[in-house]
Amino acid sequence: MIKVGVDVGSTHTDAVALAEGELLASVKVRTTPDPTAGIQEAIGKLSSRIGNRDEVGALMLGTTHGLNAILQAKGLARTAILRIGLPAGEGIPPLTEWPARLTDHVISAKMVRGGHEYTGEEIVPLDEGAIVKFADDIVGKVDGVAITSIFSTVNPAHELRAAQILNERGVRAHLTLSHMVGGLGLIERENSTILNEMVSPVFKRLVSRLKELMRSLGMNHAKLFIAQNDGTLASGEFTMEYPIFTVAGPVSNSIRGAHLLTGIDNAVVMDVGGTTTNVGVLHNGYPRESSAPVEIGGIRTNFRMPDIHALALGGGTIINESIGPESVGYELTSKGVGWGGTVLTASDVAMGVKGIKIGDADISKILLRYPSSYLRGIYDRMISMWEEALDLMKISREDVQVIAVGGGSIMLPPELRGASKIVRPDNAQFANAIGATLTKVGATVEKTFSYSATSRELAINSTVNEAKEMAVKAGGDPSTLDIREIEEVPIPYLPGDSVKLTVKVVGNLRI
Amino acid sequence: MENFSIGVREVELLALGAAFLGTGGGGDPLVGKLMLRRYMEGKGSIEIVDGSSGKDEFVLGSAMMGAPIVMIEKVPGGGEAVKALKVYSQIAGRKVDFITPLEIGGINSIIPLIVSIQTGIPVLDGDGMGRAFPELQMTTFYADGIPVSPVVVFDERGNVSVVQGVDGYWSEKIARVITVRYGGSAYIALHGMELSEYSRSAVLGSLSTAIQVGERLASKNIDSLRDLLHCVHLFKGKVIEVYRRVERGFSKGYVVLEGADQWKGKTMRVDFQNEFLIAKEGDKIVATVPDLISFVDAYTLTPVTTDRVRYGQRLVVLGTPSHPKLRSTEMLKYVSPRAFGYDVNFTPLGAS
Repeated sequence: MIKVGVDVGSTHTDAVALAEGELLASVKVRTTPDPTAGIQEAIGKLSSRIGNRDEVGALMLGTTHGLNAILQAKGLARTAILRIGLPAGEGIPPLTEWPARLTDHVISAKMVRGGHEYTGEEIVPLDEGAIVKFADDIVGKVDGVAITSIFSTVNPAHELRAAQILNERGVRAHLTLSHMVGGLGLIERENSTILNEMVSPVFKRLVSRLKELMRSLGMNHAKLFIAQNDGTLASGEFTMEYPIFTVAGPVSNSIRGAHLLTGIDNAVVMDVGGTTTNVGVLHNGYPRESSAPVEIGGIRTNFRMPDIHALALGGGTIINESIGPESVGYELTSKGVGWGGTVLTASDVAMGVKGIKIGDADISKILLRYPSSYLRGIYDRMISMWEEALDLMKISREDVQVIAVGGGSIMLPPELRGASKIVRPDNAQFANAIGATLTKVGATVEKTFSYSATSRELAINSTVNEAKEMAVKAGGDPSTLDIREIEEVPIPYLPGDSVKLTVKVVGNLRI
Repeated sequence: MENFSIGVREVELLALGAAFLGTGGGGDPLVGKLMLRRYMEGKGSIEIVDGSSGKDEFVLGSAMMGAPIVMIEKVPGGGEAVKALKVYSQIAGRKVDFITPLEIGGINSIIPLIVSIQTGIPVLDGDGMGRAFPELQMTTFYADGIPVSPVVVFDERGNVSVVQGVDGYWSEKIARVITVRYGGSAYIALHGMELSEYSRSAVLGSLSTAIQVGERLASKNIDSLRDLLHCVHLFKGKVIEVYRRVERGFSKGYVVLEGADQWKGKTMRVDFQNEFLIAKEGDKIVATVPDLISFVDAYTLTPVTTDRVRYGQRLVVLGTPSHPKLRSTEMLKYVSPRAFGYDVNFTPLGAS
């Protein structure tokens, strides 16, 4: 079986084809303002180099579609918002401190009585009459509805009932229920739920266009998977329902790719791209997650994202008195000095000092214009920047292994202070796309329990089962599901050994 | 000291400073901050009044009680704390002239401001802890003989309970049970007193100090923070171990750091119970409660709470001498390491 991996980076979109782990073909094209065009171009070019396209079993994609849609507020759904929880919650209504570019897409935002306590009992009974009225107000006017109820991660009954009422009243819009998005913290979970609904049409279009493309190219048996924030994959169908889980997909791919290309479980990964070096930590084969809340386009969400330090130093970084942060991006091969241009870039400096050649550049053009001592001085400063970033992300005082990936990874020196060694795997420039093809399906579920009310064993088992169900929905093969991580965090000021329980499961793709 | 008024910018700084003075506990001020910013829209500023002199004006404490994690999910309706204040005022038969924070650390520095912006009642520049503590009787007010009760406990549904405990411990215990029954978070009005009593008993100026702390953290100026609080740079290093468990509703545990820079080769262990309580370098105790032990991110100076500490973080540990009132014999009965169940005496900063 052949697998195709595609990764959308800030400057380039890469596509690779692998058969039984062996690289058959690779393609690099420019990332386009609407990333779909670049993806189509890359897959099209790649496809012409694959003999039997009928053998393509899966296409895996890591893309910035979700993030772009939120940042540019383009192609978003006409959204209605239902918050269940009054009389609680009125202190901070939905959309508080959201930018107008996004709230412009909201048709209606309503709060009604209902919701639950941390114990699972009702705050007050659900105000069904108010939901009927809400449904009648929005019917036929919206593409999607985001429904969030207080403590729905403990008891989703009111969200489920609200969805039923909307259905009964003829609301045919797409629905996102917050307990499926998950996470504690009403405002953050509600924000994520709303964003999920808003970007949903973007992914519907993407998935249908990709399926069409795969068909037209003769990839008749290929299933589509998309990379998620936590370094796992989900099926195209699942992603149409929960696109918000993919906003950090490409970043996770590079860390997973570094692991899969080297077999190393624990290391610091330096992904050197066109505008940045993304430094992340590979922890037991997966990206280490940030503990801080994540903002997407200025909106606070509850996603645990890979802990990434983005250093503004990549192949296209412009050198004048300072190093960056501006970059020539994909114009490197026309503007860079080594390519006959006039802008001195980090790539030119690295080529001049290391005597290496990137693409069809001409090193003599660089050395003719800049004295080697000047280039050496700049390069030493670049090394210090990388060393500082490495030091920031390391988890112990001991030197760590560094895995260098990305198109610009060839620029790195052979040694860095703090690195025991630097491993640069074969095909490092395609690590992200390759990573996408080799990774697993996964799901994360977070709940709260009081261990004096529910035994620890029962709590863990039910949460594991829920995560497994979700992983199956995401395209996982049920017989291969494994627990990746169980995390228990005690909740202070509550009685009865209350904990926040997070379970992650992974499994093989059902292909 | 003099009266002043604060706007949105100062609220932001206050929240940051309150997180530092919360010494790892006190709850995430985000929900309070969002509510406050919303209520301040179009209303301008909040009046902060010097509480160092006065006589028969009536002062009332205002706070949230319970689990901060419940508050971030069951977000307040917004009017609970105001209603608690009104019920208190009715019971006591007194008009409330000023509101005071009970503690200046964490979310409870913000709650009184939310009440103030809704009622127009000014907030006094002071509190009863100069930091954050987990229980109601751990205030200078109580140590000075001012009763905690009655405590009016209000929830978003409108349930109201009035607790008249025989002493601070009973008021705490009963109000805590009610809070749990309400769903884990409640809004309370308590510690009614004359302004003359307040002037004598409060940690005065703590609200303006918290804003200044926030200002200095925001400008990443650790030297000026040290000048302001006379704090001691206890340690700098990387977290190599975090241990947590829940005991009687409190998150207990410890953090071990491995030294960097001048502390290279040394280790520090800090025990916490919602707040950081005891700091040991090697075998030597270098700081204990009631002195303030704060963790800040080594690069951003962002305060780090006990629930957010994790393996691999690079942190600076700062010790701030507590207000002299917290070090009195009477107050130490409630807030020394022994009051938290540790077989350790209070070691004033710099004395070891």
